[in-house]
Amino acid sequence: MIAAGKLAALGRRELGLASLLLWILCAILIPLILPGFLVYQISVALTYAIAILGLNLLLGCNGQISMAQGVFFAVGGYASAILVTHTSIPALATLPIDAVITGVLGFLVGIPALRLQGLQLAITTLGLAAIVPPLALKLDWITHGASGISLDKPDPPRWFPGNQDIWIYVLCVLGATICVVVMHRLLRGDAGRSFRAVRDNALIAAAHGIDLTKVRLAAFVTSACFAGFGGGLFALANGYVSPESFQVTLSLNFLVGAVVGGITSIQGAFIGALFVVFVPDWAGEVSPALAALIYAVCLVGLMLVARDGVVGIVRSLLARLTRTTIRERARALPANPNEL
Amino acid sequence: MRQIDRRTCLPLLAAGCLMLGAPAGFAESAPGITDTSITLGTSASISGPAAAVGMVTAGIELKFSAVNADGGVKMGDGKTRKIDFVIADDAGEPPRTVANTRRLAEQSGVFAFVGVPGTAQNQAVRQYINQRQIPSIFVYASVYEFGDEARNPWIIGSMPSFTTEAAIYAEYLKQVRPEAKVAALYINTDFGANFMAGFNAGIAGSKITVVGTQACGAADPTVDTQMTNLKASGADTLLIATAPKQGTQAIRFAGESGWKPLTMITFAASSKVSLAPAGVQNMQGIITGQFIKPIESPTYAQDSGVKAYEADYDRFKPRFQKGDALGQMGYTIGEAAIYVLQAMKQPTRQAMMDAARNMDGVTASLLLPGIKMTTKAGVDGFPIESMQLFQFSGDNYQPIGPVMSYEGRTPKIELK
Repeated sequence: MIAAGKLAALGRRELGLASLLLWILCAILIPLILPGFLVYQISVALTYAIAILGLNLLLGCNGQISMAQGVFFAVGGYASAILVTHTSIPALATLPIDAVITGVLGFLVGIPALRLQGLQLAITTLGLAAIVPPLALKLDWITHGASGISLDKPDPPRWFPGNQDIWIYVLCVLGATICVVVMHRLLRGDAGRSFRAVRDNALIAAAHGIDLTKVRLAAFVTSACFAGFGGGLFALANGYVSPESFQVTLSLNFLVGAVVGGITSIQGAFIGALFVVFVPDWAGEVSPALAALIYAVCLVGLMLVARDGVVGIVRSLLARLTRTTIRERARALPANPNEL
Repeated sequence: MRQIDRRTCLPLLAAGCLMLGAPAGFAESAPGITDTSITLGTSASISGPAAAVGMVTAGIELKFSAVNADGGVKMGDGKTRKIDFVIADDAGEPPRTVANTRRLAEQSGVFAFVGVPGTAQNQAVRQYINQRQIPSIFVYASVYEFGDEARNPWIIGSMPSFTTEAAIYAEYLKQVRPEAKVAALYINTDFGANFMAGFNAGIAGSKITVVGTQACGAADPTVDTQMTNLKASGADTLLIATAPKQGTQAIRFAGESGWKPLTMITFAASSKVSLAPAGVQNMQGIITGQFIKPIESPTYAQDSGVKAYEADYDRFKPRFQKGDALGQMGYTIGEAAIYVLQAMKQPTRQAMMDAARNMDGVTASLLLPGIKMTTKAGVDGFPIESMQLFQFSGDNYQPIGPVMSYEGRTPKIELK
């Protein structure tokens, strides 16, 4: 039993270490190997991954279904675009501002919304997501309506050897890394334990002295901050925002990304983001007329094979491997332990 | 120290020359062009609510197919090249135009963009286009800024500016209805803003008043609310500055609600084919400014330009109807692009812009007699600046006056 636990722990640690090494290797190799357009798409995927990370915190670790992630992503995006074009605040300095703005907005939305749970919360937040494009059109004095806002992308500093696209990619990698570290720290600490306790059994959690509303609100606000930060980074990476950038489908895509990757995992957010950015694209290249159908089939197929997302299937494969190893070792052991 | 002998020296010298020569060589040739082909691209709304505008792209494709079938285009550097035309669908959504433009430039390696439709779509990519110095010639977006070389050095429009068109309508109204009360339905991009700015400047000092204005979006399912408000304003004249879909809905509403104002509709929404769902009875009397020949009119039955267009149409059977003005505008843009390719002295992007910015009275098969394409670098960034007013009567548009030319004097507006 102890050996099994050790091996399982080893599996988890190895998975974590492997992910870290893969992350560093990919981050370095991507701009060296891939053409500019793919690097740009990966930068966009990284900004999506940050929003999905936030959703994983809310959905996977706290058990709340929110469709408003696209709303906070939009607010972050517009906030950065407006600040960059109307003020002299440096582009990068707008990102923490985005996180604060969306955090406050998350708090304001969260207080009434969190009275509702489960599906009711999902539908309420879906309503919010549907409001964004028409609202962005109506507030044209600040959002420039249907024309959208074009903004100057951040220029690389002089010491940087690559071009602007690679600099933006580096910023996205750094932003995502910061979010991963924050998420990791959160989940390992007391906050993470209380998030999970509320998810697993709210009654028991309350009996242990956890303030349910406070914890749910904290998860909602943190998740909104992630989305706002990601949205701001998206605006800087894309150089353009308009109401069509933040349609309801964006919130749905974040949910799809979270589920496809695996709602309880950090790695899953990145896999999910790559899925929602690249699979529809590839489907379009295979056949423009059948793109939506191909994407749908991929989605259904993946869900049939990997119910707990891609990370879930990797974990179960690893677990099976570990079990085999334990069984083999057990077989090698003498039948009667007393003989030892 | 070892002496460098001649045998070592020669390869070193050769390598040095190659290294020095290489960057210069790369700078000369742009991507997307070889001795036998040139790759051009566009991002257009092939699907979505503004799919009618996608017919412009089909029109460009028709002209390019015809030229390719005849062996290609003999360019200014003496080489004959076939055109590889890459089309990406953005469903009329500017964020997808941004992604498509990058994909076409960086992945498909297009030499230049031709006839990219849409105001917001072109504005979404203008920064990228200007920064990367990729020509985007003859965009199908008539906002004033695409004729301003200082603002958009790598973009040039094709059709008359909306400020010109609006001024022409204002002039006409001054003559026929000097005390007109005007209601305007306009699209909520710079398209509508430019149009209204041009119209207001045009009626300044006259007794014409604008009594109601309503904005609509390109993806709005209906404009009934806006039209109800405009009808209630008590206007006797309706000005429509929208995409084809909203124009059709507005004309249908004006006819069916019993309002029946004097209706003037932008050329961008005036195609007989795209207006057909409004009903022929509701289209009677509407006025529009045109620069394309009404090919079904008996006046042009023997016209060589119309015959050339019809021959190409019958040969390649594009996906638009023969009488669709949007397809015909695309065909005209295609012809203008061919002229530019023929006039390019070198196979470089700069040479392409130079050719597009220095057109001297270029004619096209479907342009009305008396309308030519003229530009001058640094002075005139608008190829077409003339229009003739037409009125719908029976089952077609009939001319109601001479060609009104604003050549070299497109009404200016302040750019934000």
